[in-house]
Amino acid sequence: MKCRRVQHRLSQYLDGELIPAERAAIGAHLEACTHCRAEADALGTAESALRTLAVVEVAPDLMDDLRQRLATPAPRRFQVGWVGAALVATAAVAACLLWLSHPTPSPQPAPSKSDTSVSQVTVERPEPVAPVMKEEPEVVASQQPYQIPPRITHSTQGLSERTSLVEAAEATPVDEPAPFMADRAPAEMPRFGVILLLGEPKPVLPSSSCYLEVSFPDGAKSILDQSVERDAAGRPRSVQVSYQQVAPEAQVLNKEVEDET
Amino acid sequence: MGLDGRLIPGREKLIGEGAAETVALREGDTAIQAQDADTALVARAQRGEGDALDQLYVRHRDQVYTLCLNLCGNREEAEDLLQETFVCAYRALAKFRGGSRFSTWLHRIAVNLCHEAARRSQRRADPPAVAAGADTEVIDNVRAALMRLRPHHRVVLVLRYQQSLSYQEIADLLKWSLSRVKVTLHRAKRAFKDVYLQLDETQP
Repeated sequence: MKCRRVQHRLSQYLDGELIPAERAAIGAHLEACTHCRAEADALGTAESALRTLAVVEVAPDLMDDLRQRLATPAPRRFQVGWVGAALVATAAVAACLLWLSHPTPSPQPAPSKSDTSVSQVTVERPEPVAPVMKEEPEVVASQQPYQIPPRITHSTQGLSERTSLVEAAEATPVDEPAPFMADRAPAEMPRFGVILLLGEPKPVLPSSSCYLEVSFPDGAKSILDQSVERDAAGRPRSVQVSYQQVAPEAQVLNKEVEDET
Repeated sequence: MGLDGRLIPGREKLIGEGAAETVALREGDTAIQAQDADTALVARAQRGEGDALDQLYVRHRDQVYTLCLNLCGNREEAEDLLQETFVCAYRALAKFRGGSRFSTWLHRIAVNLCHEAARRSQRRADPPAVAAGADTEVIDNVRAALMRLRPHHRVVLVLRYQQSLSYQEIADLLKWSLSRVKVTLHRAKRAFKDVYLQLDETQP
């Protein structure tokens, strides 16, 4: 048996873990080889030292400490785990996809005002109402955080007493481009913003609501939320419409006012 | 004493206060007797008998404490690890199905907790603490040499030569293959021999 093979098995030889035939072969080699015998002696010394590690007795009062620790509730450990990590990764991917699907508009030449086929306000009203309003309401479109666009005034001819401020805006001629969309360069178009409509606070619609529906060239439609600010008498003072990503080619198709009373 | 209760000559522990029944393993106890006693106590503890928990603690505390002491090298930390081991074991006792011996299961918890503590110490760059001065010079040197070894070398040496476990018991406890235990033990023993003999030579 070679020295290399013997030294690989010295540990098991000293531990008595070898079969008798191997044990006898290694024993015979150790008697003849001084180098391997020296190695075996050194390992035996180390083993003897390790075996001096006796059992150490524990102080009896530790049992009281243990009872005390057992009496306290186990701390809740936050563990993300694989499921949590998968959820976080999924959310991150979804956020990236959402961001990529709504890119910031790239700089494009501003649409000419002659291009009225887009950015027109089309009013679809089920029933035409008679004009009664005497004063012309003002409709001011503003966008935040951008500057308020030019003030526009719409004619209220042909509106009834029950016409709200938004209905006054509906009287905008069909061919007139919507200023808050058409007059702004695409690069300036906000992805989020607010249109503030101001006008004559009459007639009173105690509980009116309206919405704007915007149609995009690809057929998608978006309904714009609004909120009506009222005075103490319950009359609408302003209508605040929020919209999202109104592109220049977007088209406001419908404005409706409902009397919920 | 190994897991089969071979050692600890003459040591007996009493159950609780004033109990007459001896619970610690005696020299003559066989592995089967020790295992049966643990199995019965675990079953009682799983039924909610607090006295059985006390008896399990008394039976195994010294072995677990010594294991922790030799793995972490610090008495205070070993006491903390001992308690943490039993707290973990008691809280997970309902999940213990008896697939392995209770002592093996308990020692595995202790080894894992010692590994975690060692990793925390490494992150804090703490120097290895050695409980010197309370034992003989040989034991101090052995513990100092152990603390200079790699953690898995230290574990197999302590389990083999202090806990007196067989190769197969070490494999079961660490969930290693038997050949891995043999190879690791061989390398660990040679590494320990080099460090220990060097320490021994430098002693005045």
